[in-house]
Amino acid sequence: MRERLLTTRSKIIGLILLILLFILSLYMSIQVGQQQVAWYVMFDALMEYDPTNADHVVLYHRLSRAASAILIGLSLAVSGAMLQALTRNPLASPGVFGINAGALFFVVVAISFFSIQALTSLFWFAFAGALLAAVLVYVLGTVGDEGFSPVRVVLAGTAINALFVSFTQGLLVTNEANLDRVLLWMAGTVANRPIEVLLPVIPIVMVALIIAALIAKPMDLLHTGDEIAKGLGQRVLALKMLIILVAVMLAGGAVAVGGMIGFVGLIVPHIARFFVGHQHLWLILYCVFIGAILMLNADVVGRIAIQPREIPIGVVTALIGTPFFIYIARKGFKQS
Amino acid sequence: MMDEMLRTNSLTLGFKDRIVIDELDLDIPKGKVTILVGANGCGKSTLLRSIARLLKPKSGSIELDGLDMDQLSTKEIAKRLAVLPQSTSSPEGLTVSQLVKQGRYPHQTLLKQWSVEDEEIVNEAMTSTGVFEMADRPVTSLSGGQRQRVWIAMTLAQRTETLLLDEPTTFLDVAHQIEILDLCHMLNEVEGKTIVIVLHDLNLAARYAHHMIALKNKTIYAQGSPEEVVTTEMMKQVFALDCEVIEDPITLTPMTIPYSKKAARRVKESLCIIEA
Repeated sequence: MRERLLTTRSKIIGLILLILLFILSLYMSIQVGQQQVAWYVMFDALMEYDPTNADHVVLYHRLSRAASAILIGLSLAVSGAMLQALTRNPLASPGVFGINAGALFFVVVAISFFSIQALTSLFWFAFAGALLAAVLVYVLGTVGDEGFSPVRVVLAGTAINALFVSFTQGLLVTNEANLDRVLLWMAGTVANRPIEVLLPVIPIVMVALIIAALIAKPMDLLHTGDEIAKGLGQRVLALKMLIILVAVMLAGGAVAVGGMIGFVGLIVPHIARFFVGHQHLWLILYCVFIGAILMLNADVVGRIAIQPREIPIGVVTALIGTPFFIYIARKGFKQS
Repeated sequence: MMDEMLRTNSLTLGFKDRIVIDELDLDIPKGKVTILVGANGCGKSTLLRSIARLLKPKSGSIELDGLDMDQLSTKEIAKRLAVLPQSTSSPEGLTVSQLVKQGRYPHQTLLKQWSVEDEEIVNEAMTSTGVFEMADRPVTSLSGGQRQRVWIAMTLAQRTETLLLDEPTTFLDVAHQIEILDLCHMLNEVEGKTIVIVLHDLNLAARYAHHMIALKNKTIYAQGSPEEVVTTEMMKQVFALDCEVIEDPITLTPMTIPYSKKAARRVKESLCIIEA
């Protein structure tokens, strides 16, 4: 596949269009819903928040969920792009790497055994689970005579994913009281996440994005092959460790906020690559915006599709993602 | 000026318990084409990979330009020595120029990014390997021979004095094999590069090498000019093959003609006819 936007100029124009689309999606996300609120009220709400004003409350909720959607969308998208670059496997994603399942399992443990309720505390559990799963998968995929192989990493990811999902289900079956609280995590949601919950995640995501931008060029080199990169003076192992760290920081943060939201980390990097190819700095930038746009719109769709009830956002992304996944898988097999 | 730019000191290589190269002292002459030959699994690729620091030695050391390679940073080595490994998968979605540009990586830093000089060096590398016309084509759309020239162009963009090539002609037809080796020859003649190649084809090795090294039993069996190395005795010892060695009618270098079961039968048949 060759990128569609060949020159730097066209890539910049594409980025500006994406930013416009992003602003439009953000506007939609704040406007669309059962209760109509005039857009200028938003400024009042931001300037002088009045908890007794129904419009303000509605806006605050929508702004919070838009912020969650953006944060989760860009984190999962960039995380997926990093993992696909690491494994040279187009089907790699935080989900396939077991990161989501690891994070979920730790959250369930925290709720079941430590009776932790605060989302900010749960975040750290989610993060630890994500890291543990990623390290396990990487070690299982690497240790052995032949060293690191993309196929073995994906197999290890599938196994670890299944393991953590089983553990989680086991815990829930033996302790049904917690099922309700955990169910939304499993389905993936951005509803009822106050902005305060996002605060600890934002710096982590920021740091991860900066590291991602700094290692974009070495990642271009890694794409030519491990040995070529080594020959050109790249410390490949250190680079791979950094890639995993960034992917875990981002995916761990996303799962901590929104639970199991699948397919975003898988399909957004493909859409971004369609436009800008394998230049990772551009790829990361495009993933940030496309990921955010996708999640904002998936959230809007989930909100209005079966009013007055809501479809969890994870279900919406799965509905979009599954056909796409099958498409990539078939295309990938044809190529190899 | 030293005559060796690459030297190994009691270098031992291997995987886990298996020793592949044992206590090897080897000098690779500067400004020459050196070709490593040996039977499958004799460790010639392993040796080349360790010289290119793609494989850590079990013990011993490697000197580059009189400096211990362990003391040099991997980026510093990449400015002095380029390597083309055996198994290169052509990366998806990259154009020829994008791939060749990667060769400038060791010369770049966070502050010193892409420059006009880099651009010129990349264009030069593509011109001397004859891939300039394909600069904007995806690497995956090229033939095997073209791809190999693109990879060599990438190593040239590195601007190193030494170039290591691990079986650069594998999977290429005979015309493209000659093309790649002619290119190596040209790079040595014109630019004075030190070139080290692992090669299977002995007749081509004898044609293109100034210096040949035959490996056997974890160490050097013979080294020297092709005439000194390629002998019936060496063929018997290193490859366990009975051969005639004749003169290559074009280059006058040694050329091996192996005996085989079929050839032996033909000889027997003709003997029977004579007896009858």
